[in-house]
Amino acid sequence: MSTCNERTQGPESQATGFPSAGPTISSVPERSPVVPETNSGPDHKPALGAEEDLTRRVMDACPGLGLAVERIRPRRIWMSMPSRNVRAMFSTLKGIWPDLHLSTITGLDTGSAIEVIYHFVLEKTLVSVRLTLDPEYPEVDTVGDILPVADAYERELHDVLGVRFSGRHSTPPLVLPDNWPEGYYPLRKSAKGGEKDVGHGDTGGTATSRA
Amino acid sequence: MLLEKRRLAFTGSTDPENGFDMTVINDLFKILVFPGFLFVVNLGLFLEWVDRKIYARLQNRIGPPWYQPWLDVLKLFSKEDVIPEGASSFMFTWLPVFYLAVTVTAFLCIPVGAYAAVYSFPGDLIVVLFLLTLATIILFLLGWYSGSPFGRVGAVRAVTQFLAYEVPLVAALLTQALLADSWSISLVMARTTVGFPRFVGVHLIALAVALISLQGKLLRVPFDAPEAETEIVAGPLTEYTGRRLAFIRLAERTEMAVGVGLVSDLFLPFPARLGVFGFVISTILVTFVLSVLRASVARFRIEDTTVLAWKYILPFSALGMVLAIIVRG
Amino acid sequence: MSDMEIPVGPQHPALKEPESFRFELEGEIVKSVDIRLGYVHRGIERACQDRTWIQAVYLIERICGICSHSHTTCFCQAVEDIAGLEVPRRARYIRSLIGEMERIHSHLLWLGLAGHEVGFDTLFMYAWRDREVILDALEAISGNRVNYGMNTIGGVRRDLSDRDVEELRSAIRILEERAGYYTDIALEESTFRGRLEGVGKITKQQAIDLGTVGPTARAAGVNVDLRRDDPYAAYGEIPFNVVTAEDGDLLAAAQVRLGEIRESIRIMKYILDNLPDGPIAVKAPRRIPPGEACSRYEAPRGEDIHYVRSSGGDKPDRVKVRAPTLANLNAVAESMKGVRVADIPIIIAGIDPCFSCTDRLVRLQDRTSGRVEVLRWQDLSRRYRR
Repeated sequence: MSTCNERTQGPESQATGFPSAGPTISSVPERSPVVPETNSGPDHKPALGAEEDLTRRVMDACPGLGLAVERIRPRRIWMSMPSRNVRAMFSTLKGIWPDLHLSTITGLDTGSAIEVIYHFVLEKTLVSVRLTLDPEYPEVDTVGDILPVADAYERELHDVLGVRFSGRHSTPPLVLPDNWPEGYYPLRKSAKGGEKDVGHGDTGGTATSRA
Repeated sequence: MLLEKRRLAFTGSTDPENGFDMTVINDLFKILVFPGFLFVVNLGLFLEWVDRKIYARLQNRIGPPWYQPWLDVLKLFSKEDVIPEGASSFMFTWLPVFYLAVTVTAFLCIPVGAYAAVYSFPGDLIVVLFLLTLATIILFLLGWYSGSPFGRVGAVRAVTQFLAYEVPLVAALLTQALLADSWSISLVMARTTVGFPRFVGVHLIALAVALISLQGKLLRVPFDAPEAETEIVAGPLTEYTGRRLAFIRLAERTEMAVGVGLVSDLFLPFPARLGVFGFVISTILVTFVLSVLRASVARFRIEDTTVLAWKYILPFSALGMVLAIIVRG
Repeated sequence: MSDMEIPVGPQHPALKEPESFRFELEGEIVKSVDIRLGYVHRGIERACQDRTWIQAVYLIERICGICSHSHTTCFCQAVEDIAGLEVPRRARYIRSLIGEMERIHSHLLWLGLAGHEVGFDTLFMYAWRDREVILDALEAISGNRVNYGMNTIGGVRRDLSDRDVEELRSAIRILEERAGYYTDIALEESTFRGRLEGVGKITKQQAIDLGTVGPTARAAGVNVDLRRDDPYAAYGEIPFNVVTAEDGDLLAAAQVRLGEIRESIRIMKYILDNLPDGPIAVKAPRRIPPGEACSRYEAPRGEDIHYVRSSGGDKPDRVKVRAPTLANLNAVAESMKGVRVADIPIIIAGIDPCFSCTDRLVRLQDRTSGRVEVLRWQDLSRRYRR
């Protein structure tokens, strides 16, 4: 990472009307440089070779965890696995890919089950791993200690879908107010919000709309 | 009020021929209208407009019309007055009034151009400085007794900052006093151009220090940490509304008129030569410099202010003083 | 002064949207921070399930006033993926163009706010004045200054006329000059620089572990940019640089954002020079076939991710939005420890927070924020009555 990195792209920078001694870099000489990286030109429609290869390596890294491939798309891998193994999977993957980035955790109520989908990025590919939970008592282990960012996403899921994350010492509400009625999860299929009143905090917050 | 009465007794003896009644009316006019209360409050509001207009023009905005500061105060007087639960209601009610009284009293010692101050005596410079210090203490109390955490942080910051700028400010004014060999504002004023080419260097050093410290005294960017909007809302003033806020606002504007007027009188040649007109022109000039300073920098953290004051400004002002002693020889 | 608690929010001048940060102070030093979200919930995710696909686009547009185009593009891409729609090339270019214009106006907005947070209002006024240039150009193209309504499922709604292209070129000329000027004053004015340098610092490893995205991550040296890593719209065909810095402080964040303004201008020029002809949209079916898709978009604040599932009806089955601010808030909480009160506003502003984006989930009646706020104030006055 050298200061002359931008200079090496001289012609290109010139073509854009930015003099190559543009202030982005040169005006702050005593600090470490801003390092631009060139995105090399037109994209070629990728064959799925890289994704298939990555899938294979993920599967090999996590033997015995019940990972199953659902489908492979350009830069997307969809998988599913039994919910009990989620911690094992993340600690293994984090060990192999230290820059693993957990994008978010989606939760949804399909009517017959609660699905929790972990979306994370490995080698610029978005891997989505689906867990299917019991709708009566949706519970899964927390991964907050392995991936600190998961904390917020888990709290959110607990708020809106009532997914319990075992292993956390508490799951304070993230997006819902403190006086939100216990046991009323607005993104459950059974929760018909909308026109009905869900009650006010100081009256104890009875969820009149629970169907 | 007590202070003003005593002053009355003092000035009452200036013109014994007119008889007692006329003197009282004359003095009352001086204190309440010109160059006293009404004049200084309006001058303060006018300087606020000058400041806001220049600031706006520097930022490529149009800025307010000339009557805006008056409207702002009138509106505040008509607004709801709230005393927060956690505040001390006695302090909360009376401190703004004291604040205004103190700053107006300070102005009574300041000559308006050739027009002598209402109350002038050898050593009035010290009294003005003392009253300005009192104003800062009142600001601290305003914040401390308002019962808000923002107010308290702001109050502590106001006192911290006071320790930073007060010494350089006094030193800068003292330099002028040394050069003129007097503690009386009107005498220093009359002698600003004495020894003209020889003293210019010292004058400039003292002026620079005085302007920067004044910016700190008046809690303006970059020294507005005690009232930093984005950090502590309005600092000591956070909880104030309505009439009380209007009083504080008037007091702050008056404080600005006092500070700017003092610097104009002591440092610029115009007030002594062009009279009231010269005084107003000088205050506008000083305000202009303060506005440009305000527009061109970001706010210092309170720690940085202290460091800046003690490390750079104070030695600089000491240098000015030493030079003053040397050139006076 | 012993321990004291300072509430920043839900209403506070440093915050442009209501959100609650409570700081435990020791003197002027922050001991801990408690972040509480949820004040601007409008229940958009849930509300999308009650709307048709096209109506959902308009609702999604209103997740955020700044990155509205980001959210709609992200959503439309997910739906197009499920439905197997091939978006025409011209439409993809226009999407990228609007996206870059949005990035410029968002970054200028940030620059102005950063100036305001540290008491440098002149920078604030200048940056926002020049932001008008890009807003005017957006209005000329789309008819709107903020919620452009350009996207629809299958393409874009408005074409770019030759006059628009000319207007854009002249706007670009002004912006180019200005971008250089801002880089100068923002990065060289010593008081402003002094307020940013070394403040809100996170290391590269922290940036990765805390899941930061966008300029916040790039300022710490994490080389991510979805326009390059997961190309969408026309980005696969456009050459551009990813700007990163290494120090992880707010000055680095400013450098990255200013650099990105210049890259965005460059991308806009490329798009205007290479705008392909052709249709701007394909017709989308009223019912989207069953399926699910996940779409990612490099919003001005970082990775925006939408998960969409269809059950084959005319309404979405589930829409999940994760806006970049939620991911970046972790970095705020982390870098707050031990800082001084003076640095609180600029650190919060440092990630360019967008709380409307972050709080979007469930449908709340009007029952929440007002009441909570009242409680907070009672809490407060109780605590400080002595």
